[in-house]
Amino acid sequence: MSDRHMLLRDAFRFPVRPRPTVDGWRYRRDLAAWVDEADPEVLMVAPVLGKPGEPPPPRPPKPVPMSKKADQETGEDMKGA
Amino acid sequence: MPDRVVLLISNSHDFATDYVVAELRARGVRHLRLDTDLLPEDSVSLDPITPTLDARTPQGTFRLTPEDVSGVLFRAPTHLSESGGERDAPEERLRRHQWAAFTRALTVFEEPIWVNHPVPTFRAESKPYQLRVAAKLGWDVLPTVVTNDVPPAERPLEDALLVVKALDTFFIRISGQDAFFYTREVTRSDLSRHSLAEMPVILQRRAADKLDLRVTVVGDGCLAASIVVEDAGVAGDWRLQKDTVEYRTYDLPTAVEAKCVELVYSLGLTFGALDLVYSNGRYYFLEVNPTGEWAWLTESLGFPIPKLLADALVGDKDRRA
Repeated sequence: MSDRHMLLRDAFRFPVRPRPTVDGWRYRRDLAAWVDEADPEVLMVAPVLGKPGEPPPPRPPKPVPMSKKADQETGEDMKGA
Repeated sequence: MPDRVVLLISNSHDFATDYVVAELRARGVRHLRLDTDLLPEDSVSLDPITPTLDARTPQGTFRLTPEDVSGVLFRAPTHLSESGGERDAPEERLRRHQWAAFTRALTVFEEPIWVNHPVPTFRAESKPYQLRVAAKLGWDVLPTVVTNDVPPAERPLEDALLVVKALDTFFIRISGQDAFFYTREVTRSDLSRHSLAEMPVILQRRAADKLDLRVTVVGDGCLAASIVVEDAGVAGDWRLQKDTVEYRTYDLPTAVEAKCVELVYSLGLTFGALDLVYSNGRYYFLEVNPTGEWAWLTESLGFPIPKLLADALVGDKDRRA
C-alpha cells in the first residue's frame, strides 16, 4: 500500500514499544491482580498516567491506586488489542 | 442468589480491569478473570448447549452455568485489526482469532448482564452508525461525510474548515514504527482525490472554539470531564497534547446527561465513553467508545467508575434484567 493516502501519510508515528512492564511489579494470576513483589500483600492498581519506560511514582505505605503500566499511547479503545 | 460470580474477560495488561478486580475484591465478590493472553496456560471447556463453562486457572476451579454468573465484564476486542509486526505472524494471528471466537462463544450465557455484550458493541463500534442513532435521538451532530473523494462544497458539507478521522481506529506498524491516526484538522484545499481514493475516511465539519468533554456512562450513572489547557479548550485532537492538558470534573446540564444515558442505552450498551464537544453554546455528539478507556479518569479525578461497574456486574443496577 502506498504512503500517499492521508491516513498513512499523516499518521502519527512513534517508536515501537514493548508491552509495558515495571520492575518490582508482578501479575499474580491466582489473585487476578498485580502485586508489589517486595510485599505481595500490596495490590497494585492500574497505570494510566505513567509513561513508557518511566519508573512508577514513590510507593505509598498502603495499597492505594498508583501507576503500574504505561498509558496506552493513544488512549483509544480496545480494538485490535 | 448468594455467591454468584462475576466473569471478567480481559487481558493481563488491561489496567481498567485491575480497578474492577480491586473493587470486587473489596466487596468480597467472587470473580473469575479470563485473560485472553494467558488462556493457553489454563484449561477451559464450554458446553454451549446446557450451557456450562468449566475453567481451571490459578484462581481456582470453576464450573459455571448462567445462573451462577451475575455479570460479565467484556474487555476484549469484538474484531481484531491487524497491526503488522510479530503480533501478526500467521500462527499468532490464528491463536488470537480462535481465542476471540471462544470469548464471543461465552455469549451463550444469556442471563447475566454484559458490560458490554459483544453483539451491540460490534454494531456500536461503527462511527457512522453512532452518528445516525444520535441524530435520531435529537443530538446535535456535526455534518459528516464518509468518502474516498473530495466532497463537493455543498450540503451537507459545504464547510471549508474540516477534520479528517479514520473510519475505523487503527494501530499499525509502518517502517519499524507504530502509527496511529489522530483526528486531523484540514482545510478543504488540503484534500485531493489522490490523497483519499485508496480508502474511505470520515470528513466532518470542524467545531469552532470547542471544549472537549469525555462523558462516561455506566447504566444510569454519568460522569463528565472537560479537557483543557490553561483554562481553555484544546485546538485539534487533545490526545496529541496529553502532557499539557488538564482534566476537570464538568457539570453537564441534566438534560444532556439524560441524553448521554439514553444514547448508550439505545445502542444496547451498559457502558459507553462518549466524546462530546461544547461549541457555540451547544453540545455536539462526536462518538462513543463501547470499550473506551476510563482508568485515567479514576486516577486523575477520582471518578468512581469501578464502583459503578461493580454495581452493574453484581446486579445492583441491572436495568436490563
